Amino acid sequence: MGHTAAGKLLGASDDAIWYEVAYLVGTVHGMNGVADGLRLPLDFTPDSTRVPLVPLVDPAAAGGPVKALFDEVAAFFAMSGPPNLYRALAHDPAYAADQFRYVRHVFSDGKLPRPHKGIIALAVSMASRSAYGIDFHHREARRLGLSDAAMWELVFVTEQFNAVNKIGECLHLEPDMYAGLAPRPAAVGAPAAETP
Amino acid sequence: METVRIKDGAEFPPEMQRVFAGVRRWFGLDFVPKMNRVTAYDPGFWAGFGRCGKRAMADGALPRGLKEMIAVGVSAINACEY
Repeated sequence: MGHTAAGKLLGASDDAIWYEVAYLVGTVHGMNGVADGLRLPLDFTPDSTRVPLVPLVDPAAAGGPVKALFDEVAAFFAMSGPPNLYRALAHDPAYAADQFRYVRHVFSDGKLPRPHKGIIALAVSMASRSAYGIDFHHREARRLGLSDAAMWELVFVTEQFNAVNKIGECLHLEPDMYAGLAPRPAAVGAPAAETP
Repeated sequence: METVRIKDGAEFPPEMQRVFAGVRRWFGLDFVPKMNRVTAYDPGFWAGFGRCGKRAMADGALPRGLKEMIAVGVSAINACEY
């Protein structure tokens, strides 16, 4: 994970940026795991091999808070109906509502603009070979403006780091990039380093 | 523990020293990261891999900072400590 350090060395020194990246990566990975684990049909690409393990909530039959959630999710992702992930999660409406609450927060403009988050989400989905995530976040990144040229650059970075990561793992390389960062100041009220 | 001895930067030939000077500038470091010394161990590998890496990470349609964030995300998925 030395590239957090590399990013900081390049000037992205605000911890808040890296918290956003971490929340985004974790959230995408969590969503992708559920969607692929349940073999949910892809939202934008027909694939007859994706037979869900659970029945999905029918948006046409949904009412009350589930319908409100479906409408909110569909609007956020500019879809005509809810993604299949939410048709699955809606079996527990309270969980689905809380889940979308943090998903919406994670994908909204913050320190990083929403289009950049879509790009990172697509790369993460490629790295984890998530069919659902690739289908979903490719459409989302394109919708938010990802050009062909940028798409190729995303692919090249992902390929390079898939390779670099495995080279490092094969040789058990220990991180060294942090050595380039300035020492983190002690938290207010924390004991000084030399305190016995 | 690392399973190979990683050459010190000074052990590489002069043409690689010039490359390493660029690597230090690229990262703003006063040392050459291990990964660069590992991938440069075999010049035949480095010739293509190093150029691909530089091309992949340069500013282009995507800014370099965003590419570093993509790198972090990919590395996290791959559970790569380095």
